[in-house]
Amino acid sequence: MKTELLAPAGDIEKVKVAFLYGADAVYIGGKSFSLRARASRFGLKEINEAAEIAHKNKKKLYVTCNIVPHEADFEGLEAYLNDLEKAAVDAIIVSDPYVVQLAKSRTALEVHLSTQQSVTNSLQTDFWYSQGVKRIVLARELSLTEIKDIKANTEADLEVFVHGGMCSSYSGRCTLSNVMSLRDANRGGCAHSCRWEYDLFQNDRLFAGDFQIASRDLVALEHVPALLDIGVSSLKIEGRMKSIHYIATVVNSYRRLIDDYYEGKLRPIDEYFAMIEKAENRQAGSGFFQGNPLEKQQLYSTGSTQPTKDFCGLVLDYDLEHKLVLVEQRNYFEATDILEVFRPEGDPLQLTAGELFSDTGEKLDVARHPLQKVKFHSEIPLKPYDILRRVNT
Amino acid sequence: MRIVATLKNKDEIALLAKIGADAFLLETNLFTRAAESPLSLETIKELVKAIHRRRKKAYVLLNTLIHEADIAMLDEYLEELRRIKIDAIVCYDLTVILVASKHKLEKLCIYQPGTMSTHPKNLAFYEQLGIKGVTISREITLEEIMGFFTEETKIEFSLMGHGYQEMFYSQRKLVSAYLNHQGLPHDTLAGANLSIREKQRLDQFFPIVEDRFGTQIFRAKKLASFEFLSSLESKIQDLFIERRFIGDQEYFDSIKAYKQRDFLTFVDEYGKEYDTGFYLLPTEKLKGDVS
Repeated sequence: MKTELLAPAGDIEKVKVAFLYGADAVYIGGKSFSLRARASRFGLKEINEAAEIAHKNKKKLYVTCNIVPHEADFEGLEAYLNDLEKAAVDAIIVSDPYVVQLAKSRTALEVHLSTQQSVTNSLQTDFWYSQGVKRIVLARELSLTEIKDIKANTEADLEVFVHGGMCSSYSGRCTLSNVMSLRDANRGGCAHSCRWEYDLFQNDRLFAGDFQIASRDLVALEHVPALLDIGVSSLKIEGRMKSIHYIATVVNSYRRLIDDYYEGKLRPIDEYFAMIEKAENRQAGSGFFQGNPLEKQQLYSTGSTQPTKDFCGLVLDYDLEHKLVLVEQRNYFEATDILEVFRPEGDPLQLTAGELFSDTGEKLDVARHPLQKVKFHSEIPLKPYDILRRVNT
Repeated sequence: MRIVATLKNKDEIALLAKIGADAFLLETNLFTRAAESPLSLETIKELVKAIHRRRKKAYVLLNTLIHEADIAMLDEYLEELRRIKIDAIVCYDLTVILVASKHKLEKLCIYQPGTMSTHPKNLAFYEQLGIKGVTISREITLEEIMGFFTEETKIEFSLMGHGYQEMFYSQRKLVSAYLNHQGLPHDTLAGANLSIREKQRLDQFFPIVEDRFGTQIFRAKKLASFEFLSSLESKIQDLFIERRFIGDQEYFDSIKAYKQRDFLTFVDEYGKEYDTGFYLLPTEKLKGDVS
C-alpha cells in the first residue's frame, strides 16, 4: 500500500492548499483539546468544512485531541468526540489513555496515538493496537534501523515525522515552559523555552555564555526512500502555524519525491532540497534517522535560511478571454520582477507582469500592500491557488 | 505512608532505616538515567538481602525509555529482579510494565511516567494494567492531586515529594554537542557539577546532567511537601525523597523531618533553597488563562 503524505493546516485555506499541492491527508487542531488550540481557527463548522473538502477530493482529515489533560479539561470532551464522529473525520490523534478509551467506547472514530506518548518499540505499538489504536505516531528519537525493526514486529500502522520543528526533549517529557513561565507545554501553552538563550555553569563558575538546548528542525528528504522501503504508513510534516507558501512548497517537494520513488524515477536528492529551499525554513538537520545526533542537529544560532524565492502572491482567478490574472499580494513585487509560477504539477514557469492594476483597474507602480488584489496580463493561463514567487537575482 | 529513600550503598542502610526510611530506592547501571549511584545487579542482589533483613522494602528505579534493542536485556533483568524478590519496580516507560507482566511482576510496578499522570480518569487504565501504583505528576496542583483520592481504586498513589525535580528529558547529548560545536574535548566538563541559567532569569540555576541516556534538566529550587503532608499522608502509600545533587547530611535531615514531622528545624537550616513547586501554582493552557 502506498505510504500516505500527511500535512498540517492552520486554517481552511491551508487545508485546500495542502490537498492541492499533494497531501493525501491533513491534520488540524480544534479550538479544544489540541496542543495548538491557542492558534486554532477550527471550530466545529470549520472542521465539518475541512472534512467535506477532504472527502470531496478522496483524501483524509485527522483532528488532534492530543493535550495531556488535567481533570478540569475534560468538560465537553465526549460531546466534542461525538461531533467529530458526526463530521466524519477520518481519525483523531490522541495522547491520553482515557481519551483513547473514551473514543473507542463511545464513538466509531479511528484513533491514532500521538508522539506525545514517546513510543519507541514494538511492544508498545502492539499494546496500543490491542487497545484499539490503529496507528502509532512514533517518537522522533528513532533511527531508521529501529523503525525497520519495529515495523517488522508490529501489527499497528506506523507514522513517522519527516519534516518540521522538533522538541529538543522527548515530546511530552518537557516542562521547561511550565516551570519558567507557568504555561503548560502539554496543554498547548508551550512558551518554547528550549529556544531561549542560556549560560552554562561549571561548579558555579560561568563556562559558556552561548549554551543552547534547542534542536534544529527536521528535513528528512534523503531518508524518505528508506522509510518507503520499510513500509511505514504515513510520513508526517509538522507546522500547523506555517504559511500557505511553506505548506505548498514542503508538501509538494515530498509529494514529488514519493511519486518519483514509486515510479522508479528518483532524481538526485539535491533537486528535492532545491525545491524545499524555495520556502523559508529554519536551520535543519536529519534528526535521529542516522542515530543519536550531536552538534550538527542542534541550533546554535536562531537565524533562518533565506528562501531562494519570495512568495509574492496567490492566484485567485484568471480571465481567459482577456488573459488577465487576479492575484492576492503576499509580499512586495514590482511590474518588472520575474515571477515564477509554482503549481502542484509540472515544472515551474516564469513570467513578467509588465503592468500592474488594482482590482478596480487603476494602474499601480508596485504591489505594495499585503492581501492587496492586483491584476496583470499573463499569456500563461493561470489557475486559482497557483503561487507566484519572485526570482531572486 | 512509606518514606522512600534513595540508597547509595550498604553502609547507609542502618542509618537510613533508623532515621525513618521505610523503603529503599535502588538505581541501576542499566536502566536508570541521571543516576547518582548506579548499581550493578550483583550489588542490588546484596542490598536487597540486607534491606529485607531489616524488614524494609527494596524498590528498583527503571526510568529510561525503552527502545527495541533494550527489550531482550530488560526481559532478562526483570527475571533477575523476580528471583531476588524485589518489592517494587518503579518505572517510567509503559514497556517495563508490559515486559514485567510476562514475569507476573506487574503487581510490583509503580508507574512513574513523569509529566503524564495528571488526572484520575486514567485509574481504570492503570487497573487494567494490573500494576501496584502510580506516581502522580509533579506539575499539577494540590487541589488536582486531591482529586485522585476521591476515586475508588485498587491503585496505590505515590508522590515525588521532595528534592530536585526533573523538568526535561532528552535523548540528545546536549553538553557533548555543545563541546563538539566549540571544538572542545568531550571530557572537558567530566565530573563537574553543571547548571544552566536562562539569560532573563539570572537567579535561577537549573542543574543539568548528561549521561549515556541523554540529557536531563532539573528545576532550580528543590521541592518540599512539608506544609501539605497532613493532607496527603493518609492518601499516598509512598513518598519519594529525591536525592540527586543533595549532600548526605541534608538528605538524612530531610528523611528525619518527614518521619518525625519536625519540619521547622529543617526549614531553618535549608529552607531558602526549597519551594512548594506546583502545589499552589496552576499553569496556563493559553496565555492569560491564569492571572
